[in-house]
Amino acid sequence: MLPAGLDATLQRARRRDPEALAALVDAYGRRVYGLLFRLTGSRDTADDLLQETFLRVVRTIESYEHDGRFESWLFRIAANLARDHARCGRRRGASRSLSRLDEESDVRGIELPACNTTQPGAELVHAEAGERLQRCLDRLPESDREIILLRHFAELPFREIAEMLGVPLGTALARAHRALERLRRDMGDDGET
Amino acid sequence: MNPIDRQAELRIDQELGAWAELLDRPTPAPDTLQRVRAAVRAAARRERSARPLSLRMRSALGIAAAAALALVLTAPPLVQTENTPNIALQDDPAALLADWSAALDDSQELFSRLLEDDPWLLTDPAEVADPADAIDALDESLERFEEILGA
Repeated sequence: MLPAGLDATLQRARRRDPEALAALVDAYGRRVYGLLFRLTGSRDTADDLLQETFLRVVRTIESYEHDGRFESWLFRIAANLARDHARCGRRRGASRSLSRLDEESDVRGIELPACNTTQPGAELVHAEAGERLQRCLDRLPESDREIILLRHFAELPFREIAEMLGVPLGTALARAHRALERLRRDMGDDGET
Repeated sequence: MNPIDRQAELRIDQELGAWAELLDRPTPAPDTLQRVRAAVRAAARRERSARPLSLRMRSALGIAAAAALALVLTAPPLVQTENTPNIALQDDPAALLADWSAALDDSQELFSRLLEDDPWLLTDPAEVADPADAIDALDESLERFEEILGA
């Protein structure tokens, strides 16, 4: 995470200082990746979109006016790229049915980070739960999924998420609530099957 | 945010917190971040080098335009009206032209130095000749030229 020096780093980044821009990758790369992975359900796609997100930052950071909302700006780029990617997939006719998505999703082959636990069984349980969560996330309407993932990974205030998605604050909150309710229910159902 | 919305937000965050550990998995592979960092550094260098290129184009265009105007204005007119000078000069036209020519030379020299320095390949901006000097010099040469036109 970037220390208090975000302002100075952004100033250097606006001058296209390579090291300042690389520091932004270090600071936000993991969270942006998390959002992209959970939005797309694919490790390869998340890898590609992560790179594209930061390349867009390089190209457009000159136009960014720092008003303390850099994260909102950055995650908006990432979310838009994920949305465009999904749209292109649909246009190419690559839209997959949910069951097929489950079969093909990279989540089955995800590499989990090294685990400190001495109980391999616990890690396996976590891995299975992670896969289940992704399947349930995939079943959510795109806009609902986006809201809860933006809240979790981007840590954006709901007011900003609502602005970003062009919906009233109440709608964003209601969708998030509905999405979590459905997630909780589906996780229960999915676990039983 | 009104208290009802605030309460809704808290409830959502509480529930999201329960999913946090699962949501955070997986993290990107170390080589993914390394690759992105390298791509970002390369793109930043490319973007930085694009700026002097446009400066180079500006300088070339500016000099070419000034030279073309000079040619047009110093060439004998196609139709010469008797006793009507091409330019109504109040001052000594030769001196004005010499001033302008000297200013243009200065500007050219500064631009040449700037281009020879290959500033987009240098990492330390302090080593790069200040493009503003070259642009100022070109402006000055154009001002001289305008003096001739306005004279």
